[in-house]
Order: sequence, then structure tokens, then C-alpha cells
Amino acid sequence: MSDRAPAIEARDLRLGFGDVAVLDGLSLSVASGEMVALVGPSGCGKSTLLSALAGLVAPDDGEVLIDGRADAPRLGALTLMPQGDALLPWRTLLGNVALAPRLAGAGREEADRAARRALARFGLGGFEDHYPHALSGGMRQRGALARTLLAGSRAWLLDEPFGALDALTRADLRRVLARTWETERPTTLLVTHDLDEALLLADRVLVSGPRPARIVAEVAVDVRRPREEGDAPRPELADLRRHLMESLRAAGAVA
Amino acid sequence: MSTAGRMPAAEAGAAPAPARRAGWAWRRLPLLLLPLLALVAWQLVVWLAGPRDWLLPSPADVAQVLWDDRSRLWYHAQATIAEAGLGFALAASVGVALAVAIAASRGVEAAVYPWLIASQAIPILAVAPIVAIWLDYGAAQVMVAFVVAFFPVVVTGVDGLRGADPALSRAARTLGASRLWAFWRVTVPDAMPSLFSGLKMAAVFAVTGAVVAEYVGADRGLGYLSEFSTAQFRTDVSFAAILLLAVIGMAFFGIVGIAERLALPHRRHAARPPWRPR
Repeated sequence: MSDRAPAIEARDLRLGFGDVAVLDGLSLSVASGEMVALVGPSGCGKSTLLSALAGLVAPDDGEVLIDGRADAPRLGALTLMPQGDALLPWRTLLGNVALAPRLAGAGREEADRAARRALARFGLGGFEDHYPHALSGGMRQRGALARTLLAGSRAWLLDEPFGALDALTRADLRRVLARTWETERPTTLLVTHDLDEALLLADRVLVSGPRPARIVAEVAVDVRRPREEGDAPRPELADLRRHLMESLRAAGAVA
Repeated sequence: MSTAGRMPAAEAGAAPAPARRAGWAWRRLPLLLLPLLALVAWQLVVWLAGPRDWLLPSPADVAQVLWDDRSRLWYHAQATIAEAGLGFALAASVGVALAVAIAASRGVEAAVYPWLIASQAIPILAVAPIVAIWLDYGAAQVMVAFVVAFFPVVVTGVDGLRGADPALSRAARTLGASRLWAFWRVTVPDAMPSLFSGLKMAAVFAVTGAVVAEYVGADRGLGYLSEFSTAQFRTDVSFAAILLLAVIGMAFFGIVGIAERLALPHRRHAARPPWRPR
């Protein structure tokens, strides 16, 4: 694991599929150890943006800089946590989580040890030998979080990580993520369409309009953590939420 | 935080072993229902209509042949098993290799896949005699078994590889996996359930393929024995050979099924589909 979390910057990204422009000159930056949330309507191109940042697809134009370098390898250096958990069905939970350190170059025993520790940390001790389909959605997503943590990249791209979960599990997982992020401080770009999730977790919230994705507003969340008192968000967040909602409306993202 | 409330069904209490074993036998009882009915109907026809025994032997006659001629039957069965087994092994290896090539390359797909499908429209019964002229006894049977068995392997292999969840290999790639690793360790395992469906079909097709080729030209094998015996009005021997062929077909299918359960342990624990309650 490197000492310093890398900074991520996207400059003027353009990407289209056929005649459809998905990214049209999108720029954003995430400072080292910062969590930025990107909110926008469904289908605005957020997932495509994350694929481009992760190095899975090449943009038609524009560049992605890691710590200011455009030629830095990104596959394996930025860890993408997809909306579905993307756990391999034929591997046990332990096998899935240990995959991250294995692919990062660790030996089998070392990887298994790290995976066991991470699973215990996320409340999954005792479920090491279960296959993903035998676990609940929340447990699988915790497993995906453990795998992301063990990838050792310290730069996370989270693609609506809790989008497929019910409201209670979602709130639970959000707290797990908040705690994990506060101890590890990875550079994080969180894509979501849940304003509360964005405000409870991020240092800054960016707003994208409908497709093609462009940043139309930005809100700094200078509210100290933890941002929940009991089970309710801090009252300071209410004003910010209203402001975000207005920005989305002005961008034509909501009626 | 507690996960106890969301404990999945996998932890559900197991039934006591003897009760479970009785249930196992009970659930498999329907397996014997059809053969028993067929046997009873067969015997009834023999009793009531009283056909000449070369026209329709009684079940008892066939059982007699199965016992008395067991060494001769086994001699022929060995040949059929070897031909079908070899044909299946060839079909599985060539079929999987071809499926990988087709799924990996658009060029191979465009050049090969349509012709592969067209080749299956050629009636195997028409080609088998020609193959029997070209090749030696034994080799011809393996060849025909291979030709009929490899098609389902290729089709299910290609479908499985194409249907593999791209999110899984994307996740592996962002964890630092190479493209090759993601293909062999993520896409290929994801295609295995589909491929095994094809392998199970191929296992049975290989037996029928070998038998068809034995009918048109061979000096050994249960297909040859059945054809030869029918010509000599030894219908009882012919029936015994056919019965053995059915058993061999089931055994081939069963062996691939066992291989599937060993290769895909996670599917053994898979939840029962919701439309089939316990």
C-alpha cells in the first residue's frame, strides 16, 4: 500500500457510442484523500465516466491524470466497486475477497490471512466458506467492500455501491463505508443518485445534468463527521440538500 | 453490528440422516414407474396376442439372453463404449477449443460458425456409410460419434462465453487482472454451466452416433450385434443389445453429470428455484 492516496483528475473527457455523446467535455478532480460524490439522474453517463477513469474504456478525447501524470497505468491502480457486487459465484466469500491481494501480488497464505481479517472487520466472520448466492445482498456488498479495501489501491471508484439494497441495509452499509473511509482515507469518487448518501459521506458533491454528463454545480460539505446524530442527518445538511435539489432542477435533471 | 437476523437459508437445520435417506429413495421411485409399466404392457401383449418369438420376444426371453450371452454382449459393449467414449472426448476437446476461438474472434466466428450450423443439416445416416468406406472399422464409428457430438458442445460453449457477465471480468480487470487472466479465470468459469448442458447432450449423442456407424459397417459393437441378430430373426438378442445401449447412454450422461457436480460445487448448494417448492 502506498503512503499517499493518489489524486485523480479528468480533463475534458469526451466519449460517445455511435451518435450518442455520453461524456461531452467533462472535467473533475478529486484531491488526495478526498471523497467526492457525483450525483445525477439515471442514465446520465456516470457509470461510463467511472469505466473511463478506471481505464476500462478509452475516451475519444481528453485525459485522465493520476497525481498529475497522464501516462500512469490505471487498471489495477484505481479500484472500481460496481453496483452489483460482482463477486464470482464459483468462489467462496473468502476466495472472492482474497482475490484482491492475490491479483495485487500477495502469496496465497498472506492473501487468505488478509481476507479473513477483512471479513471479520466487516462482520462476516464465520461466512468465509459460503458461496455468494447463499448470502444476503447486504452481506455480499460488505464482501465487495472488503475486496475493494484489500485491493490496496487507495483510490476508489464507487458506482452506486448500495443501489441494489433495501433502505435499512443501505443505511447500515453507508455507516460501514463511512467508518472504513475515515480510517483509510482513500481518494474516492462516489457516484450515486441518492442526495442523502452524497451529503452524509462526501467532502464535496458534484451535480451532473442529464446525458451527456457535465458538471453543472458543486457544493462543498463543510460539516464535521460523523454526520448522523442518532439516526438523523445533522440539521446543517438540510440547507445543502435543498441547494442540491435546486441545482438538479435547474439542470433539467428533475421536474 | 449483528448479521444474525439476516442469516441465509444455507444454515437451516439438517434432517436426521435415516429419515433423509428414506426420503431420497421415495423421491426417486418415479424413476422405475415407466420401465415397470412398459414391462407389464410388453408381457401382456406377449400373453394375449401370442406373437411368434422372432417377432416379439417376451421380457423373460430377453432376460435369459442377457444372462446366457453375457460374455458375448460384453465383448460388443466394450467396442461401443470405447468408440462412443473416444468420439465424445474428441468432441469435447475440439468443441471447447472451437467455442473459445469463435467467442474470442469475430473473424473466426464469421468464417466458421455459419458452416458449422450448415454441416448439421447433412443427414448423418447418409454420410455414415461413406465414412465407413473411407475409414477402418472402429475409426469410422469414432468419427461419426465425434461429428454428431461436437455440435452441442460448440453451441452451448459459444452461448455460455457470450452470455458471461461482463461486470465480473471488469471487476477483475480493475483489481489488476490481465485480459488473459480475466478470460480464463472469470469468463470461462462463468460459461461452464451452459457448456455442461452441451456436454451432457454430447455424451448421449456420441453413443447414438457410434451405433449408427456400427449399423452401416462394422464387425463389432452392440449396434452391429443388434443389426446382425435382427437379420437372423434373433430378435431377443437384438432387444438385449438395445437394452444395454440404453444403459450405456444413461451411464455416459450420468458420468458427465457427476463431473459437473464436482467441477461446479457452488451450484450444488444453489437455492431451489422458487417455482418448485420443497
